[in-house]
Amino acid sequence: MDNDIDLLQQLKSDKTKEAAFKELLKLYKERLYWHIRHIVKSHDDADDVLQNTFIKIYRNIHAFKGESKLFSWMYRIATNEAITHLNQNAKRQNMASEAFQNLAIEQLKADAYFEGDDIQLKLQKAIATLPEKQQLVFNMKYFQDLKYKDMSEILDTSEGALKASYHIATKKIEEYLTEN
Amino acid sequence: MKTKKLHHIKSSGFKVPDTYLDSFEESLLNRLKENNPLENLQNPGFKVPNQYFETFDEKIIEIVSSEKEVKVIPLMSWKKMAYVSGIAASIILMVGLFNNNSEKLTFGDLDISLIEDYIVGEDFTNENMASLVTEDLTLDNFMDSHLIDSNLEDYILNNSSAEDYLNEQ
Repeated sequence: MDNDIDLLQQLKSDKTKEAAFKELLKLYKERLYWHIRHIVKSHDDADDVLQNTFIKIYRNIHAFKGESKLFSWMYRIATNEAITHLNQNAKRQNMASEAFQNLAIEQLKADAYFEGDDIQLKLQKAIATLPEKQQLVFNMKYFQDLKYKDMSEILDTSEGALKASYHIATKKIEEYLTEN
Repeated sequence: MKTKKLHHIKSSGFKVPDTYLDSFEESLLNRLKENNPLENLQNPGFKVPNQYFETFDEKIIEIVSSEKEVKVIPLMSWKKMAYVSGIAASIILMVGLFNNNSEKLTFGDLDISLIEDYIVGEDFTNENMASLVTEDLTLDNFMDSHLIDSNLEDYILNNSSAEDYLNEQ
């Protein structure tokens, strides 16, 4: 992340753009994949969204003014793409996005790329009961262990509010897991 | 005597089960885990296909490269296009103004079957039809129809034949 400034300069230059973009892929594809995967749940959807995210990054990098960090800008694109993808799929199925998310979790049981047991499945169901923003905060902190400072920039929310949100999310999930 | 006795009591008499202290740490951690069901769930259970990340870069580079190849270079600049569009619009306007066709379509030019198809196809309701009537109509408009006998005779003579009456029973 510290080398993002150099990388950004290289991405904006036609001569170095290709090589810098390859470097960007190497650095961020896995992190962004897991961020997206926790939102959309299935691998196929995560793959679609990850591709769209990097294509958008490639197309719009010249317009990125550097007012925020490069990585938080990319995380924002990935978050928006994932949520839009989820909502579009829900609309296509004529379902509310909460109901669609529950369906996606139910389908994990038969998913070749999900090896979780009943408890892990229950955790996904518990996460799905949270409001959208709390889901994002929980996934980013719990599974990806992102710093509150970085999350603050990605989600445009104060660190204090994020800590409170994470605390509430954790309590709700613990309650769900104990009761169910 | 009391003091003397106390000196002899060196032990409190309490006993600890064997290996209690050795296993205390483990049992406490287990209990903490029970109270915190999230403790063991750091792995969400998601998997990725083999070689997915290894082949992803290539896939994306291919997509962005193909986009670059088919990028369309405009033949005319935006400024030139604006001039050309302006001239074309002026010509169309002039043709429209000076070549104004005086022939106007009348209701009679329309084919009756077309009008019928339109009314049937558009699924008009009685309310729709009523909204087209501009005059104030009362029941008398329909009840007080006066047919003059001579007009009726003329109509029958001109529009019917003897066969029409033979077929009526």
